Amino acid sequence: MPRHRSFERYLGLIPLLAGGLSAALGAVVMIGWLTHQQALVQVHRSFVPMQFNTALGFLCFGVGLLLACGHRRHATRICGAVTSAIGWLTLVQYVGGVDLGIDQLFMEHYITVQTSHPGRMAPNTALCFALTGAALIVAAAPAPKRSLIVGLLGLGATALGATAFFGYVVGLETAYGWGRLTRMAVHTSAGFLGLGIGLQALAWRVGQADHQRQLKRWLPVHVGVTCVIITLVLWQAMLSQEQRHIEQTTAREAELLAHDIQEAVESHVASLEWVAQNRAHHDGPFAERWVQEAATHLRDRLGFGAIAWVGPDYRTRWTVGRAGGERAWNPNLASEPRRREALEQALNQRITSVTRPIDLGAGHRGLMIDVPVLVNDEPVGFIVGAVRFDTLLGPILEKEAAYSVTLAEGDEVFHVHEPTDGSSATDWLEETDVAIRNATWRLRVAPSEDKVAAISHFLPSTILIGGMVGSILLMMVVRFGQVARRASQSLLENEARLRLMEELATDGVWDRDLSTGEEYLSPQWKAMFGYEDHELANHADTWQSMIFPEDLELALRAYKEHTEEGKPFDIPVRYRHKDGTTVWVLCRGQALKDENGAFYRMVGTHTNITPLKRAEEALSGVNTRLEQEATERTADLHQSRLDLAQSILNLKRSNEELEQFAYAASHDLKTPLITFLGYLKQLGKQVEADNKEGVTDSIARMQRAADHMRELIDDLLELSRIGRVVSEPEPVDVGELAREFADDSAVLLAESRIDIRVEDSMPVIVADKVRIRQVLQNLLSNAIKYGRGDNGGSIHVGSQRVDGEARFFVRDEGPGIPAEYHDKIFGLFQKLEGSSKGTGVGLTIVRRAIEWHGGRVWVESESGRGTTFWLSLPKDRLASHAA
Amino acid sequence: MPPTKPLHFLLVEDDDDHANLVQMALAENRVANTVDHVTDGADALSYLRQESPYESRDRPDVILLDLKLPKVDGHEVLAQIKEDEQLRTIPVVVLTSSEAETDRAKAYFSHANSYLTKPLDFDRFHQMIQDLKYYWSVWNQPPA
Repeated sequence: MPRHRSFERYLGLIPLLAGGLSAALGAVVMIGWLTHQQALVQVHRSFVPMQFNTALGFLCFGVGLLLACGHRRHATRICGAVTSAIGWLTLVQYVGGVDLGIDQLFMEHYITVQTSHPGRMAPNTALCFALTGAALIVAAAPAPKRSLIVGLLGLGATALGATAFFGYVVGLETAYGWGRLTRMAVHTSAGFLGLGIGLQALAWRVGQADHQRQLKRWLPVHVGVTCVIITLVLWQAMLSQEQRHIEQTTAREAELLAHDIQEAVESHVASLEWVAQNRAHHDGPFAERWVQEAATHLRDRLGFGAIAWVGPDYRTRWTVGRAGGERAWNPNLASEPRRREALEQALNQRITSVTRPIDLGAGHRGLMIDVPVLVNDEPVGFIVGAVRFDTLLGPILEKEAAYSVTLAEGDEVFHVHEPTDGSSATDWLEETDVAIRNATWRLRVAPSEDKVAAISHFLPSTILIGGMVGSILLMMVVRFGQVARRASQSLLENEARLRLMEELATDGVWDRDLSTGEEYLSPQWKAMFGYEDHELANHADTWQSMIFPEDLELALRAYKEHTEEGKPFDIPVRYRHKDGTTVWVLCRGQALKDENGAFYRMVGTHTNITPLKRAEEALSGVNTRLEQEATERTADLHQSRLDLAQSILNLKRSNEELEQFAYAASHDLKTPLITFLGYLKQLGKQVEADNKEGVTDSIARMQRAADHMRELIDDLLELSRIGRVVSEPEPVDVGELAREFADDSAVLLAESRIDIRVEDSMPVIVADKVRIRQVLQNLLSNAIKYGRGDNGGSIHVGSQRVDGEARFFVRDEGPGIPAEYHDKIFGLFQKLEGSSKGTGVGLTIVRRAIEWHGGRVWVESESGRGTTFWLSLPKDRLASHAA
Repeated sequence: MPPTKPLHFLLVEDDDDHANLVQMALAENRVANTVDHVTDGADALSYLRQESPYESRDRPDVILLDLKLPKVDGHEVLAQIKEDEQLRTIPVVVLTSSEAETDRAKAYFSHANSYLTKPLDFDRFHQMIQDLKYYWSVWNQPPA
């Protein structure tokens, strides 16, 4: 797939590109620091600069990534270690609250915008370097699953970079700044974004090198984890943004309140100062006018409980109060320390002063404002206003339904205002000072839970939940995409198959229910033989009546072989067309099994191969001629091949015989030797013991063993001569040879009461006379030895002509040989009876000799019915044939 | 030393002279061992299955089996003995002149209890038979 390969090549270029850009970014910023070009360092004057160490990290990482692409493992590892170390050391500084002196190691930082520690990179930047440096080390190490690890580490960097960059784009400061610590610079965030992608591409390259298909397999996980990380960081960023919003809202509220309270107190002070001013101008006690004036102020300023004219001796002269206000008035103000303290201050410093919180009677708390009345700069008395906190602050705090407000002077809380819902979120407490003349009040404001909830935005939790769900969905989408792609591939294959089937639609289709004999025959099936659909019944009888009877048999046999032996059902057969012509059909089918393994249905097709058959017939004329020529030529070739095969066969057999010989010799030649040596030993003992009988016995046994050995050696020699020592072929009269043997063995035959009957006029063969004589000798002496009954018997030597072959037989009337030994007896050293003194070589000689002449040997026998040994010689051995 | 008990051997050997040598060696003892001798595999199986003409014979304590036998080959005899539930507990000592590895492997594969090769040297041959007798009559504990 060339498209795929080019995609892979581009993917392979990404780490190179990312490495180059990273190194370039680092280098450019370092140059910026060195040459004081703020644009390079900061991008914008209000932005945080990229710290020098950060730039160094980028340079180091970029070089490492390039080296990793060049398979310089060692160097890659060093770069990775340096990068990672920069990150880790900085993190240690943040977490441990220590200064390792690395922040300004290379560069004195002259730009410290949004920087908590001059020269120290942001904590998220440090984390990114710690991760990416580690990724480089892993990529260069022969770690298992390294591609996965590198990919995940790269992912972390990408996510952190992406989040920070996103923060810059949408103006979300908390996305690139953690707490009040140094922010991540905008080009740093962009750098990590690219660098993370480069690392992931490197992970893919590494995976390719490791021959793992992990990229594909882990793609959904990669995508999912990336989204989860981005979601979490964004959520955190928005959450802290929101916190800051609540803090700011509360603080502003506190400021406003402080201002209102101050103003309220000041307005009361102003009223009193006004009265005091008038008092000073109108020297002397003008009681009525003063009372009138004081009453006006009392009415206007709701905070006043009473206003009094107090003499320099701190004793009250006149009092104007609200209903019940005067009654609580203590005429001697000096008797109480807080009142006295404020009056003394006002008197001594000639300024308006306020008391600390005091009891105003009837359970009311409040304060007194003392304004000195000066005549010619000499105090002549005071205008004193008693102000109740509830009436002073009530109207102001009334509107603060959503905040809890506390006012205190030093440690003394003198006024508490609860929000309407009674709760307060003390986490969000904001404090501010309220300066009231000579006193300073502490104002504490906290929003109610409801208020916090109202300010809180649904967005962060929405992003968290949405992001998580989205991540999972995205993961599933990618996974399903992969599966779907694979599925669509197989779908394509299926479509191709379908198309092929459509093309084959000219074929007839048959579908037989094997239990009912019902058979669907497609319209094409019927059309092939010139019938309309309705003209033929959908039944198994239909085809059986239309197929040629001789081909029906063929089809039934093929079906049997298909179902019983699993052979393919694929036969050319002839059908009779409606117009009487012959239609050649290639009938293919498949029998289907049910769940029990029984055949229940068979489907198949008919392809019209009549044109093919016609062409075949036309060709066959030409072929016949060609074949004839070819046959003649190949006949020669065939013959030489046969000769070769025969030679190989002979070689194989002689090999086998050699093995057999070696095996048998070890046994059969050893046996008489053991006997001989055994009795030799016995003989010694017997001579010593003068055991004459034993000596005779032992010598007899030794003699027999020695004879047996001689016979064995003779026979083996004979056997070895066959095919090796060859006389000139000559006409051999087998009957004559048999008669010669009978004459030579006359004495033995008479003793055994056996007669040999030889047929007249047996065929004369052209052969090695010595061997053929040997064959007859062996067969006849066997017949004499084993083939006689209790009262002697008769041996019959005769011949037959079968298919031009000459067959000779030697038949006896003995006990016969069981069928299981018919083959075995021709083997070397194979004897039927253990007691017999034969060597077990005779029949082997017979077989070898006859086979050397191109003939065959076999035996026919039944127990108790005598034995017939057969020799057959090919017709070219016949003398008449040869003549 | 446990007392020597007389053993009943079945000697399956087609060579009369060998059989005679083995019998002489077995007989050379104070204890009266019984040795029955059959000359081919078919007879050996008939004997063991107590078929005619061996109906009256007891099962032997040890079988000495030659491999090269007429009619039924020694390997076949061994296989049949070891397949027969009645006979498989009788120890079979293969006693043969064959030194072919295939024979040895085949015999053990058919669960032969021992495999002995007849030595050419008669003294050793004699010693082997003595040891064999001694082993089976003195040391070996037969199945209950």
